[in-house]
Amino acid sequence: MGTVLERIARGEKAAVQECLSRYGGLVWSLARRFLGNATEAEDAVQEIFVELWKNAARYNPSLSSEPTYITMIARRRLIDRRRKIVRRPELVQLPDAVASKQIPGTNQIDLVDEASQAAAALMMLRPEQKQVLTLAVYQGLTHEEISQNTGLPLGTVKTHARRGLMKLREALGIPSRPATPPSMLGGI
Amino acid sequence: MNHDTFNLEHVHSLLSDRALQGMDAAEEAGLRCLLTQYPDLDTDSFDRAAAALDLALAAEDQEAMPLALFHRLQAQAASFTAPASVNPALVIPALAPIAPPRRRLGNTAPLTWIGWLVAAVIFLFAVLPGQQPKLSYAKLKERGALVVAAGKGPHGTEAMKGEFVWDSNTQQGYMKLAGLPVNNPKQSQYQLWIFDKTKPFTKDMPIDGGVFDISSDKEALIPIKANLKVDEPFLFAITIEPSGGVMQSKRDQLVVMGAVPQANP
Repeated sequence: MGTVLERIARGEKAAVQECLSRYGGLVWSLARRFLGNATEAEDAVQEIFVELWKNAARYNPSLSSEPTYITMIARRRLIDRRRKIVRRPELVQLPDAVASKQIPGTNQIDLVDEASQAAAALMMLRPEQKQVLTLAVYQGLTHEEISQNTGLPLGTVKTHARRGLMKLREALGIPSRPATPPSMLGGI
Repeated sequence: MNHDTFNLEHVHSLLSDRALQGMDAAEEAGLRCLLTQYPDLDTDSFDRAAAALDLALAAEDQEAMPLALFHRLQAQAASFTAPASVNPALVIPALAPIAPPRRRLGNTAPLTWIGWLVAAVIFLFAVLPGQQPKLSYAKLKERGALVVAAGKGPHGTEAMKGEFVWDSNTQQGYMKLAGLPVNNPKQSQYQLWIFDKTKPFTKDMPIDGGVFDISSDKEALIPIKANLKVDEPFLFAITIEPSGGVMQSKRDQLVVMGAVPQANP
């Protein structure tokens, strides 16, 4: 049977639709959070799904769960896209006009083991590491922005980020030197 | 620290930077060059850790994509053909159509639990720079703090009135509110959200201004407990949330709003 991406890689047509139904909410929510602007987010979501489908064979289930892998690919594309946006999204009034009803045939992602472990591991980090990683990963702040908002020197922010991620990596059992090819993301 | 250790630490630092905020082409080229010294390093391991953490932190935030986008992607999915490299011998027949949505009640508990856990972490460990002596409501106003009239939100009551007072210099503020219904703290609490012009991300993820209770029908004076530095607020909003508050509001029970009047150009 295999995961959805493994099935897409085998050429199973229904798995392509299933990928969209299963992970659409996840990728869309990430895009909205990273980019803010709905039009930009829509373009990004399309780009991400096409990339996931085309490169489904790159997913290696021994390295991460499928939701984590999809989040990783989406995050990288969204970070790249956000860096290219010269002007940040315009401020608009709340409440948010974006549809929030569940689309038929879609599911919210279960909280996978890795995410549960990451949440637990976060609790074990030093307070400064928790703060920096939360602001960087969830709020999407750059190191400079974190430095400005917390009063921590930039170098300290970078150190907390690096050490915090390394501890999380360790807690999640993510090897730093796998037997597989170095990068599944195509770049470096 | 010897040269190798220093280099490896530098590579880790760059990989961490890339996982959290990306890199430009020149930085990537520099990293690629350094990585030639560590051919067996897993260059995605920092990205995986960040992704797992992102999943954990955003567990409760998932929203459905707009229907029009979903339909466009469905059409793309229908016409998508697997890459030509796929071995036909490995292709298996398509499965039955996707099952209808399931409301997974069993998943609600862990999701909620993680949400609270994360909210607690953020609340407990959000450290603000330069703690100032606590100033009274009157003192803040004397010092010329920003005063914003509070009005009824879409789900508020007509009786609601009050004001938000915020001083960015001392990072202190108060809410003076009357007419908000008394809440049962075991079931729900009020939560303040602050939108800051200098932080565009607050449009979607406003700064948490703390949870509070209304215990009587008298006017309440409540200190603002922002979990992040607030430089130039342009909107204050109060929502009703589950006890303890949430990381990100669904904004479906928006009871109070206070917008900073925009200066004429």
